[in-house]
Amino acid sequence: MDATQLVKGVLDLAVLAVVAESDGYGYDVVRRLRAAGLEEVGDASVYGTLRRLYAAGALTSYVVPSDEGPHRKYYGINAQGRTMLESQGKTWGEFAQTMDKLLKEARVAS
Amino acid sequence: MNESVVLPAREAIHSYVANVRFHLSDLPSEELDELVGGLEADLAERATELPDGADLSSAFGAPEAYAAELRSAAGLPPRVVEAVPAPPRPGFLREQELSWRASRDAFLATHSWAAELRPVWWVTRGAILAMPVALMTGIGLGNPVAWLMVLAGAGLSFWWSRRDPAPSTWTNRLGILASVAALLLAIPMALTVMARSAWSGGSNQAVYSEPQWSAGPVMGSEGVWVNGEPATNLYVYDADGNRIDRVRIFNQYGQAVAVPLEGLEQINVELGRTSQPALPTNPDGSRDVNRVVFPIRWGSLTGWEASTGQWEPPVKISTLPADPQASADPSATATPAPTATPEPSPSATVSP
Repeated sequence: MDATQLVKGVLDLAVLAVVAESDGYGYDVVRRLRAAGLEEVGDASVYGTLRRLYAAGALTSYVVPSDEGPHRKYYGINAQGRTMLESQGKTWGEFAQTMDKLLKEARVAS
Repeated sequence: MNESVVLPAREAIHSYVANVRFHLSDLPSEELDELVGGLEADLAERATELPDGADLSSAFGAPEAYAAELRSAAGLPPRVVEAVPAPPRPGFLREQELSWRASRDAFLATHSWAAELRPVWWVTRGAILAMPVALMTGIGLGNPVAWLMVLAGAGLSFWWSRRDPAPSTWTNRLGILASVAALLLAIPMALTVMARSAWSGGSNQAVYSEPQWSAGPVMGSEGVWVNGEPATNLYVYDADGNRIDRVRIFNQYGQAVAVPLEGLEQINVELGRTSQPALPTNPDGSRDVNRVVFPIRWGSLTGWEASTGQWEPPVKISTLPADPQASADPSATATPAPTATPEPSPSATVSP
C-alpha cells in the first residue's frame, strides 16, 4: 500500500500534533514530520496544509524577519487548533484500533 | 556549501518560487501571498541540505506540480484556465522568461563550469555591446577613448549581472535582451574580424599603416629631390665660377626651395657615422637648421664641406663663356650653352 496516500488522510492531524509541540516554520514542520517517521510527506503538501489550517482558524501565524535573506513564516497552535487536534486524534485512535483488530483477526502482523 | 555556489543557488530558488507563483497566479493576490510567503526561506534552507549542484526541479519536483500540490493541500480549487479566448496572451513574455530561467538554472546547477564562466560572458557581452557604440561616435577603434568605452561597457555589464537578482521584471528582462543582442552582434563582428585577418594574410599585423617615407627614396616630400634622392645641400656658383654664400632660391610659384626633411635626416645619419656633433634640434624635436638658405650650414661649418654625397665643392669652377647679351642686359635670362654645364664629377674637380 502506498504510504503517501495514507499520509494524505492524516496530514492535518500530524501537522497539528507537530505544531502543538512547539511553533515552527514550513520546512521546520516538514523536517520534524520526517524525523518522526513520516518520510513520504511532501514539502508542498505540508505548506498547503499549514495554510489551510491557518485559514480554518486552527493556527496562528507570524513573520520573523531574517538579516540574511527572505523572512520566515512561523505557525503556532491556538485553542481552536487544540480542540481540533483532540477531536481528530480521538477519531484516529478509534480508526487505528479498528484496523488493528481487523488485521489481528486476519492473523496479519501489524 | 562554498561561496561560489551561494549566489546561483539563491537565484535558482528565486526563479523557482517565481515559477510556482506563476502557476498560482489565478488566485487572489492576498491568498497567493499567504500561500507562498515564507516559501523562499524554506526552500533556501532545504537547498542547503541538497548535494552541491543538485537541480531544484529534480529535488522539489517541477514548479507546476509543486504549485498543484500546494494548492490541493491548501484546499483550494484547481487552477482555473481562463475561459475567455485570450487576446495576445499578456503572460507570454513572462512565461518565456520563466521557462528560459528554469532551464538555465537547471543547466547551471548541473554544470558548475558554466556557472563559473558566467562572469566571463557578462564582461564579453558588455564589450561586444559597447563596440558599436564606440564606432558610432566616429572615433574609431584605434582610439584609446574607444577602448575606454569598451572597458566601461564590460564593467557595466558585469556589475549589472553581478548585483543581487533584482525582483524587478524589466531589469531582469533587460539583462536577457542584452545577452541576446550581444550574441547576435557577435556573429557579424566575428565575420568582420575573420575577413580582415584574411585580407592581411592572416597575420596579426595592423591592417592599416601610415605610408613609410623612410622606406626608400620616394618622391613626394616637399623640398628638392634629384634623381629620386633628397638633396642634402645645394652649392651655388656665379657665372665666373665663384662660390656664392647665403643664396635663396624660389620656384615658379614664389615658394622658397628647401632641402627635404629626409635630406636633413640623411645628414644626421652621416654625422653619426663620423662621430661629429649631431644636427642642432629645437625643443619640439625639429631640426634647428635653415633649410632654405644655401649652402646649408650650422654650428661652425661654412656650408661648403662635403655633404652625404662625399663630393667636396671646389673653391672655383670653370667660368661660363661670355654671353653676347649679358653685357647689353645683365638681368636677361641667360641661355646656357650645353657645354657650359659644370660637371660636378668628384674625380674631375677635386682640387682644394
